[in-house]
Amino acid sequence: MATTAKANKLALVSPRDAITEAWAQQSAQNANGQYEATWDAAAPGASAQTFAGHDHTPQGGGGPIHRGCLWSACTVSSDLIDLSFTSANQAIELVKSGEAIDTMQIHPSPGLRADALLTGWICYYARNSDRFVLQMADSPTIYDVELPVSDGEKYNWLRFEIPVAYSGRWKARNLFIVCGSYDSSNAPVISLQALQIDELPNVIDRRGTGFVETPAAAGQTIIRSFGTLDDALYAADEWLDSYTLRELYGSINGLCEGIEDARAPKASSQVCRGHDHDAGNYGGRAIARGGCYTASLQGATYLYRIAYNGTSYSGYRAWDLDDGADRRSAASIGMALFWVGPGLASSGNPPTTAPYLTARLYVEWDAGAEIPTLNFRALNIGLSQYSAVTSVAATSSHSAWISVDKIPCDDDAINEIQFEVEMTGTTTVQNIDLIAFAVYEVPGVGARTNTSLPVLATGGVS
Amino acid sequence: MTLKGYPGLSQDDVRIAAKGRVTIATAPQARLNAQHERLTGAAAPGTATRTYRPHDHCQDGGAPLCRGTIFSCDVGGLGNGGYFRHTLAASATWESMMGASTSRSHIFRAYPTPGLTGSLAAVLVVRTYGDDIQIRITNLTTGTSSTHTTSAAGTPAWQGAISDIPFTAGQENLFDIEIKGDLGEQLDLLGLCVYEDTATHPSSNGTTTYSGL
Repeated sequence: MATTAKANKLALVSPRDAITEAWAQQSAQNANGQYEATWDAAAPGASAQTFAGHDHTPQGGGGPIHRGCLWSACTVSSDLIDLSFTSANQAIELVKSGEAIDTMQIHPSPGLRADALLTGWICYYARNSDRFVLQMADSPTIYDVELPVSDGEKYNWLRFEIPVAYSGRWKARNLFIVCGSYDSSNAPVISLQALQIDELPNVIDRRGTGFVETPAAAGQTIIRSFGTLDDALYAADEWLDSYTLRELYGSINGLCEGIEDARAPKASSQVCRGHDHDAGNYGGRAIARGGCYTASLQGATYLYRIAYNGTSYSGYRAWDLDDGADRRSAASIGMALFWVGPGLASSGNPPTTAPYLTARLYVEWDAGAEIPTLNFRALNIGLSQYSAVTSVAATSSHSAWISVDKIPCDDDAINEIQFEVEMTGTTTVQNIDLIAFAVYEVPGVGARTNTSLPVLATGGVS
Repeated sequence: MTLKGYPGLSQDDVRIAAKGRVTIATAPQARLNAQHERLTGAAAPGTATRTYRPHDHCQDGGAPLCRGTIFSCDVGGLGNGGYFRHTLAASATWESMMGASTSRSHIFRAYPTPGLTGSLAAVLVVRTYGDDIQIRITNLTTGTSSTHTTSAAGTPAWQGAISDIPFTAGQENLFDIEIKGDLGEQLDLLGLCVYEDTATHPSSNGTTTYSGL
């Protein structure tokens, strides 16, 4: 007795072909494979799971899904950044002048087409030039978006689009503003109060045809069931009987509803609930849902500072040390607060396997002649658990994005993250600044489970 | 190979003692091939091209899924409170945190996932100067507001939550953040996260989970 899950080639059966046990057995094996890929659970009657659940990545199977907000920053009473131009047709990056910081760090969904367009929104006030252009800096082809000059109105919103291909994975996304005419007595200025980049449904590939639901057929009995499709039912020379076919039909109908969350063809109503990638609810493998939290003032100032100033500290310090007794960490309030997708409950301190979160932090310091080594980590306040440690070893100055990985997460509460710093090698280093950060559920990495199992999309063909 | 499709798999076709037609063999195989493509996004085993679009839990089928965060912002430490600050110009009146000195139409915008229902939720960190201040989020697209939460006064930083932000799924929604208190009181918004959670998942037409089928 064995219940096998496979992805067999199901060849055409023609009239007058002999019906052998193979076609039925292979169909049952495919149904078992689809059961496992849909629900991320062993097929009924199987002793172990053969295929990993799909997770909507090219690696894990399933089409790409849009993941919503990738980056956002917003103020209302002071500008995120003011850019003042000093010559005609000058290009200035959308960050504080002189900073090496990139505008943002984003992580588009895996599997998107290169020409898929991300959607951006910018809130700005542009004046004293005949034109302003939002420009992509790292594209092979210059990608321009005209920013209408503010006409008596302060702070207009403008929607724009960015090709996914130019964004990359964890790649800096540089946006520049280019001015037009210049008058030294009334220099061009653009002020920015909000910037957001979203992955919306338009990024999804629309090749092929969709499932067109067939009309319900009166008088039909459409059974939905997940009985055991055991190989023994299809052993050589066994009679193909009504029971065996009924079990197969029921399983396929149930799977159809589980995948589509719609009634099976010809059925008058839906019986099985669609999978929702929540093992604790309606089944399916946990999937990463993208951006959790972003924080940035576009380099206009730091978010958090540890000012060592010759003071000797040992051990890790919360990054808001410079805020004194009023700091968030003193009240156990996180520097990032968000909800993670169902199933993203980590284990371990720090977690060693998925699920976990990943953060990108823009960090700056200048220690002059000293060469400290700095260690960075994240604390999940609610769990009292830490991430893995990222070290930047023995360098006098630093101005770049770093990754802090394997951040613990809880899918049953608001996650509050506190970033912390430890310094070794010297105790007199000057300010250590956190300029910007993003916390992500990284698709295809942070939420992966069953990584030792093949996926149905590529495995089991015979 | 053209053996892909969604023929009905009726129990009537496989009744005891009924004559077996070839469709009792081809129909389940066509369905399995089509479902393979809808499920995995890959061509069915043995075929060169994919006929069916994969499900995406959005416009291409599958249960609508919450996406988590749809907007967040944060100004960091308390010293940066002036970046997102409003001082009340009147008492007992809801005022936008945008203030009156800007022509800005809304504070932030977000795109709730198509197919979701219910309400959005938010978690926020503020600092209040003065007495307690009420905070709510208004959806300018729907013209409706969340219930308010009340920040505690006198604390260095205060964390709150709102669970009933109205939204319209599948389109841009414009939002305002409004506060109410006494004249001259001031509130700094230090951090905000607006998110879709599983409470936004619509009820399925199905009634039975796979493990109970």
